[in-house]
Amino acid sequence: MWRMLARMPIAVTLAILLHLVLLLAIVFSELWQPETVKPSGEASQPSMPNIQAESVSSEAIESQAERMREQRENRERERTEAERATEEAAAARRAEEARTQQLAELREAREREAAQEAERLEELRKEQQEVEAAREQARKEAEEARKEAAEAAKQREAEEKARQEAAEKARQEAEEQARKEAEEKARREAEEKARQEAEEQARKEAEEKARREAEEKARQEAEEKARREAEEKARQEAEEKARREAEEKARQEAEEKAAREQAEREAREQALRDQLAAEQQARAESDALSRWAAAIQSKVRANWQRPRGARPGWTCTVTVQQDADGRVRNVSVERCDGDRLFERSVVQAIEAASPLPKPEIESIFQEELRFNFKPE
Amino acid sequence: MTGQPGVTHMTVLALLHRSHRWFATTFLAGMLAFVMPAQAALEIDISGGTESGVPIAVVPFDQPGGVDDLARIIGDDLARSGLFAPVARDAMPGRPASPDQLRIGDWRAGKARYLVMGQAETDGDRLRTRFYLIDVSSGERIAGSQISAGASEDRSVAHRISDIVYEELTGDRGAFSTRIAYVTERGSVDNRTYTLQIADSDGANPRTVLESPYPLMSPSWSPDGGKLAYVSFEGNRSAIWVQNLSTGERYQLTDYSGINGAPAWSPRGDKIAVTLSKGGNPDIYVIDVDSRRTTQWTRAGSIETEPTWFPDNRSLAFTSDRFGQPQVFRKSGPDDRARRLTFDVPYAAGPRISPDGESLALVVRDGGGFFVAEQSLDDGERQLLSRGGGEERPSYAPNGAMVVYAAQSGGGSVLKISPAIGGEPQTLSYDRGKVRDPVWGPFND
Repeated sequence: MWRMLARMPIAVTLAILLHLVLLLAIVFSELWQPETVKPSGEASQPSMPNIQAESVSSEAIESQAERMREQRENRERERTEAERATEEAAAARRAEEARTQQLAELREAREREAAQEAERLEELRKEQQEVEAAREQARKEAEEARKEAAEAAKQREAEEKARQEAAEKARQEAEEQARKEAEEKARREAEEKARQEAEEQARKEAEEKARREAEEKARQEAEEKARREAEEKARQEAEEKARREAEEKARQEAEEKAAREQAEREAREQALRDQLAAEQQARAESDALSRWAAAIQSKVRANWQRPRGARPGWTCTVTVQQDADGRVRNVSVERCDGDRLFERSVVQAIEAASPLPKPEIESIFQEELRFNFKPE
Repeated sequence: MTGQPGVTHMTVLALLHRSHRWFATTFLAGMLAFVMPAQAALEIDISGGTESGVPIAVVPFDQPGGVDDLARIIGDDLARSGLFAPVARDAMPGRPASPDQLRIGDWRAGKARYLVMGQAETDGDRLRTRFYLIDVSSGERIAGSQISAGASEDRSVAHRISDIVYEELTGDRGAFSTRIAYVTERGSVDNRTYTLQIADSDGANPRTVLESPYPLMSPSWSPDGGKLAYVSFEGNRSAIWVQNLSTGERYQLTDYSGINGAPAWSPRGDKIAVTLSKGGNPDIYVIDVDSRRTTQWTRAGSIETEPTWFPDNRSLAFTSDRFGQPQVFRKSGPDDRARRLTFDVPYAAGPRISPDGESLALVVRDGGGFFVAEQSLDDGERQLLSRGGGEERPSYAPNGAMVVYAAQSGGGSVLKISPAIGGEPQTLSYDRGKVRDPVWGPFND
């Protein structure tokens, strides 16, 4: 609706107005119905037209005339009704206009009265205001006069007071001026005297201080020199003493060391002689053992027919018991991770090498030997 | 050792000079070092030595005439294993046939570490044989037993003795009493004869199980040794046949169009892996022996052939040229990813897996020729087993100790056996024509 209103304000407004007019028309027609109905009630009793008719003897004529009269009457009635309707409409219109006129006049009369009343009230109020204003004016003027009188009295007092104060002030200023000048002079003289005294004092003090400082410095230098000389002497003496002691100690230590080294050397030489003797014995045995082992190894290896297909990594460990002549009494396989042919070949190699070689030194002979056989 | 004492002396003196306290320590330590070995067992390391076949003397048996030289057969068996080196007869100090004739001292002076001796006698149609295995070093008798067999089974008796000696000395089962199947080709171009043969492990006693004017190829043993599967081109088209060796009955296993080749019986005998080209390319298929249900194992679009089983009965090694050159691959099922096993050679084919599953025998091109080689499946290390340069089709003995293969020889071809540990190959006796596709049979249980 508002969209339509916004889009077509004139059309909508017109439409609304039209509706309103229609509504008003209906309302008014309702309101005014009693008046409109009333005329139609009067119309039910139409005044008969004044018709001059001749008496006719003939029935036919009478009936004809009757018919004609009826027709005339009907026409007349219709026309009259139409006219009456027109008149009624006109009368309604007129009545309406009259009533509208009446209302307008009544409204106008009321407005006029209201205006006149307002005018009268305004005049009344104005009069009151004027009276009020006159009263106020009188009061103000009286007040003004009173104020002016008081002001004048006050002013006179002030003037008198100002005059007296000025005279007093001038006198005081003169006195003050004289006093200040006297004071200023006395102050300057006192200052000058004090300054001279202070300068004299400072000069004397400076001279005294310089003298004392010179004396003190000379004393200190003398003392310092004496102290240094004493220290130097003491130090030289101490060094000399330490040096002598160190020399003595070093000499003693050297002697002791020489003695000790001599003893050690003798002990070492003795031990060395012992060691060499023992070592020679041991080495002789060790060499003999090595040669014995090598001889056994050589003979067993020569008798080992290593079977084909032996794989690298195979190992057979066997323990061998021999008698004093090297004859193999027993061969036992401790561990063998080769195949049966390999294991057999190991045992056979030992058996085939029997009797085993004997050692050069009887003391190193062992009954039990261990062999590790490896293909590679 | 002559320079050594001086050095030691100087060291000791230097130590003594440093501080006299060192003296006692050094002296005591020195004494301990020298004395200690005298109290613990002297320990001696033996390494090196010469690697060789173990010298063994197989003394000629005391045996009647008309019986094959048992000692010769035994000696040759042991020599083929590569582990033993039989002693020449003229180097033997005597001919004992029983322990009471053995003078062990005479033998100890010789090379032989072991001695085999025995005697045989015929009793009607029976041959009774008694033998002894002696440890020469200790004089101890390691084994000895009596074997009774049919008079014509003298060679089998010898092979059984070889097996016993081998197992006693090595701890591993001998495979001398086994058989080898192979194909021969004889005759001129327009009159060619092919045979499927079975011989003893030393090539003796060959017998023909099938003779055909059409090519025969790729025999494969059933694990019980009772049947052979093979490829026959009869009717001029390839087909895989299965033949019962005791009855001679045979049936056709496959009859697909194209290639029907390279049958390989699984270790449990329930499946046969084959090469078929029915799908367009030669691919590996596995046939269930009972149901004949066929499962395709490869579909690489290249040539996939020569399947062979791992001991687990579910993995196959095979040859494939999917990378351009033939190489060996492994698959553990039809949907398993193929894993390459051979590297560093331009050509690797004809794989066979050792019975323990740890090695792979195969043909490699090395330099100018084709050689049989063995490769460790653990570290990939490879060694050549053949010497000639024209070898093919290796096949393991059931104990894994030997490999048989076909080798070119003077325009024909022969069978050779190499020890799996490497060593001199031995040629099996064969007279004429060409010998191909050897395959070693199972143990005779």
